[in-house]
Amino acid sequence: MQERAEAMSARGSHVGALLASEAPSARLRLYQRLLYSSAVADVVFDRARAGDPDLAASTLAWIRSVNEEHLSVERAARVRNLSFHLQRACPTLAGMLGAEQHREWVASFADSDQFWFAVGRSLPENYCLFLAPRLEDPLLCAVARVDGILSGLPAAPDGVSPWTGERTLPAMKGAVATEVFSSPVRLLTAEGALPNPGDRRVAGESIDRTIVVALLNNQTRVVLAMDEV
Amino acid sequence: MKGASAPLVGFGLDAQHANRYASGLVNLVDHFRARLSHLSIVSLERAEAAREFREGVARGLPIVHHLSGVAPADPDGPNISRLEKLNSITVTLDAVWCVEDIGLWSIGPYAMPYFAPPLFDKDFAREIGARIRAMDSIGARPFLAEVPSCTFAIGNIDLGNFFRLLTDTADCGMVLDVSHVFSYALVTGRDPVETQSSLPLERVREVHVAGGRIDAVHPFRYVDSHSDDILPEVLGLLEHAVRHCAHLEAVTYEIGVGLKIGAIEQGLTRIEHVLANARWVPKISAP
Repeated sequence: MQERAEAMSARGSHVGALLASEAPSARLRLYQRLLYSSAVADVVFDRARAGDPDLAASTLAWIRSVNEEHLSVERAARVRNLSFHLQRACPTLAGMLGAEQHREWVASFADSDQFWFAVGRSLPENYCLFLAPRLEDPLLCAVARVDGILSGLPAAPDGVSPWTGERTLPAMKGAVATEVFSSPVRLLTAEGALPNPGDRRVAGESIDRTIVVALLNNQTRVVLAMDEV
Repeated sequence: MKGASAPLVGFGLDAQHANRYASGLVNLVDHFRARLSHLSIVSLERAEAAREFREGVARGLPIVHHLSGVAPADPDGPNISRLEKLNSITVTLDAVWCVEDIGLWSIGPYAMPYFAPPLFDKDFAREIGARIRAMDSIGARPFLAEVPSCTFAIGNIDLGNFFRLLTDTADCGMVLDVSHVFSYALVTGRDPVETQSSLPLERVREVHVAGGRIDAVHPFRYVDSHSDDILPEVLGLLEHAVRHCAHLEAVTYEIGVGLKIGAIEQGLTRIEHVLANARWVPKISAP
């Protein structure tokens, strides 16, 4: 709860700075946030309705010209589109979460500051980085990390992993880049595939494993799991 | 119109969906080749793919390079490294000019799943114009600013004044997407022809036209699907455009992946009728 309160406060202060500015670039950044975040929209319209004296005059006039119904429909369409995009980019995670939970998490992501202040090497990886620490199920957490790395690694194979802060060196033959982490669950199916909801019992079994995600020369990506001894 | 002496229309194609077009990209173009004045292509990311497109698909037809993600209207735009990368594709294609929808293309450092209309702000129109002017030093071909699709519109000026300020500052040409003009008119409750007349039509070198539909639940929204029939109102705007854009060189029919050959044939024929009735002929030619 404290984390959420701090996040809301940080968002409020950031949006507050945008609202107080007369600069066109501030209006532009505010506009971008209004297109995706209902939480930001609530803050902005509440303060405009209250005639908040800290709002820049040009920004206040601009907010009052916004058709809130049109904006709400536009935002819903954009979050739906984002949800579809992330479902395609993170198919294992979306499948394990189920359609409804996936949509809810995407909406939370779009409402978060992390949506705008990137950590991941790609947008889907940024979503996974947002989600992983919020998931209580260790299997879902590991799946989020794998889907995130699968998306992020090809985007910046020479870069630094946002999960470990370390460079993703090609630690195996034929690889362009690899990323390794410890998993407290089996993660893969008996056939060595990424799980779907029907594989939860096997994939979620508690066992310490080392997971290797590799990007190969031909841009193929593989996930390997090794039991720790 | 089939078998008419001179081609009037080009196709607008998306390379990332090459295998999803009716009968495939190469067969689609070959099927209609005799009726095509040019091709416009978006989503080419590698020089090799650009070479294959020029030699294997266009085969002598003039090419327009449709950019994405350069984004001079983004808060931190334009993306210069992307412009440089796409410029090398432009050169490989030997494209006549480049075009991009003026809008927001990114969420922080990432590409937006679908671009958003710009903020229609008079200060920002000038700023974008100055950025486009600065892009001239990198681009090998002229950059044309395209009117974006608008399912939402806010700002302190209207579409016409926004593009007049922007193109006057940039001193650049324009692509008039008549479906996009219709979308703006619909969402703002304005008359489509008056909306189009307010734009700097003297700067238009290319017109885009495509199929789409009005959202059944929210009738103020135009769905720019490229895979529905062309609305009569949009064809009306096309007719208005060819009569009022004095420097128009090319008309591009943007083809969605959901269109079957019969529907493309029908859409193309309807566009050709409008152009033939106006006695308009394309002026686009390879550089």
